[in-house]
Amino acid sequence: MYFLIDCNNFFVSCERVFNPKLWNQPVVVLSSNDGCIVARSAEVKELGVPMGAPFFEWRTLLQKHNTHVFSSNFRLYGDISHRFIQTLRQFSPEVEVYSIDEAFLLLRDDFISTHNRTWQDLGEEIRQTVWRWLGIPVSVGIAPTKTLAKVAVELVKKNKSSTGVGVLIEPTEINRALGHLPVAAIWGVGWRYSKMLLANGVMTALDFKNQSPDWIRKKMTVFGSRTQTELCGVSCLDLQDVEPPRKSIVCSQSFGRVVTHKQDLQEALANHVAKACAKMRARDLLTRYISVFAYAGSHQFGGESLASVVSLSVPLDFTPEITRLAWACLDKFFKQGLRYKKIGVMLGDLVPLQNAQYDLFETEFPNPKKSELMRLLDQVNQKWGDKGLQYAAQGFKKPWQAKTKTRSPEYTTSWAELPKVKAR
Amino acid sequence: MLIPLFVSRVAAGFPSPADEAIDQKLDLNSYLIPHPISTFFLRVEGHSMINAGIHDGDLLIVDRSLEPSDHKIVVAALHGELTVKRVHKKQNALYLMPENKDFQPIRITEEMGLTIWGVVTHVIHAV
Repeated sequence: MYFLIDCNNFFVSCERVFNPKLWNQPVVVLSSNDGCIVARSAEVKELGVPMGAPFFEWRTLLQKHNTHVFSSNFRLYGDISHRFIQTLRQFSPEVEVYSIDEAFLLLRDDFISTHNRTWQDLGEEIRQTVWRWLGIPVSVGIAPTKTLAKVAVELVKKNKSSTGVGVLIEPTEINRALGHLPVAAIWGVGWRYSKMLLANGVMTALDFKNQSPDWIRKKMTVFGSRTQTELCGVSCLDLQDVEPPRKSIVCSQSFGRVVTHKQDLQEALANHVAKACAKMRARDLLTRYISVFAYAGSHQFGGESLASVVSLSVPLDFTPEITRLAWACLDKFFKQGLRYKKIGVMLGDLVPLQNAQYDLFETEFPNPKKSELMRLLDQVNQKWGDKGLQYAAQGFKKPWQAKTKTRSPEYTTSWAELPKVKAR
Repeated sequence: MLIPLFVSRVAAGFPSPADEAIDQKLDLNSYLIPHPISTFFLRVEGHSMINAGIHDGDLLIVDRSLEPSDHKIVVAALHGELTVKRVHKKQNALYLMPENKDFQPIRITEEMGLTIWGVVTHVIHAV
């Protein structure tokens, strides 16, 4: 039996754990650079504010309702998410981390008979445990397939009087639930397919389930067929317990203000390269393909996407070399006079360290001095984080950095920013 | 009569009784934090708990998974703030007690909307 545990308004919930002033108050969390709304409390959802809305468009309305606004606090959310997953592991060793705030659990079908419980009871216990241990409210969906578990969670969230746990096992229950779900809300059906389905009279998930399997196969390929099979209660999507090998690592960020000088772009790019390289080395990978991309102009008045790539004959993981190559890409597309909004780097064609091939002219591969230097760099930075070691190319003042005007303290990852408790 | 004396040492074969103990290092984390998932650190501001050995600026280790039973020191959420107090259950009433004669006990009623945030297990401060 599959369980899907989905945290409610996760970023907002994390902010609320250490700050009782936010309980039952309207709260929003903004994306990096404070541009878009990426999390809304129930109170804010009721005001009609959509997910991903640009903050400046809704600022007045939110201010009128005394909404608390926060910049993203990823260290906090990451730590709470980690604890969330650890909590779930208490219930089953088979856990798939689907996203920062969602996970699937797989329990054996004979679990309830051997433990003399109901699935509902177990779902309730999971919910209570996460609430007690972490202060995070969650919705639980229980079903014989992952796709149906997703449906169960959708319904729990929509239904205000729900207990927070939704079970979809009985066929009549399943069909009733599917009848209330629009096709676009089915997991695995994107907006592109939903258009096609609606045009063919397939309005609800129940209609989808009842369509001829051949028709689904023809119109939506094997992925559509799998979704249909799952909706029929037959599991064909397994739990993914191993992170699939990374194909590429991207690091980019929008600027806090418009950037016009090439040196600022180079600085920002060097920072993104450093971060991406650290991530890559942490997975024992090297890159053979570097792509640098940037965005200049504005959405309203026409913007330009710029990019340049370089393919390597020898895989690399040495930050200074990759930075130099990234700068060479930047040289290729940099235009004077453009107002740059964003720059980023993608390290692709990643190859594991043990599979990397030699260069005919390199005497030793990997170069031990370079490897040792990177190893030390990564070690120091793991301990000191932002206050660790950086290359001079990454700049000192960094005027292009993203705004994080109202980030809450890093309550669980910084000694200097611990939550305060009053003894008064 | 001469008795022969063994001069050669026994070759590296005798295990030292200390060998088994070598892997045992004292780890403060596992000693102080049996439930890391539900344990958080908080910083104290104020003097209302000095008689419990909790001073202004101290570090509290707080475990949310523990039962906030009578006489335990807890972190509670009251009037929009996190506060540290001792629990005192008296007949049918619940009180949050300070540990400083200059402060008053608080009698808890339904309307106050009290939530117990966690149980304090240790207080840490330098001397």
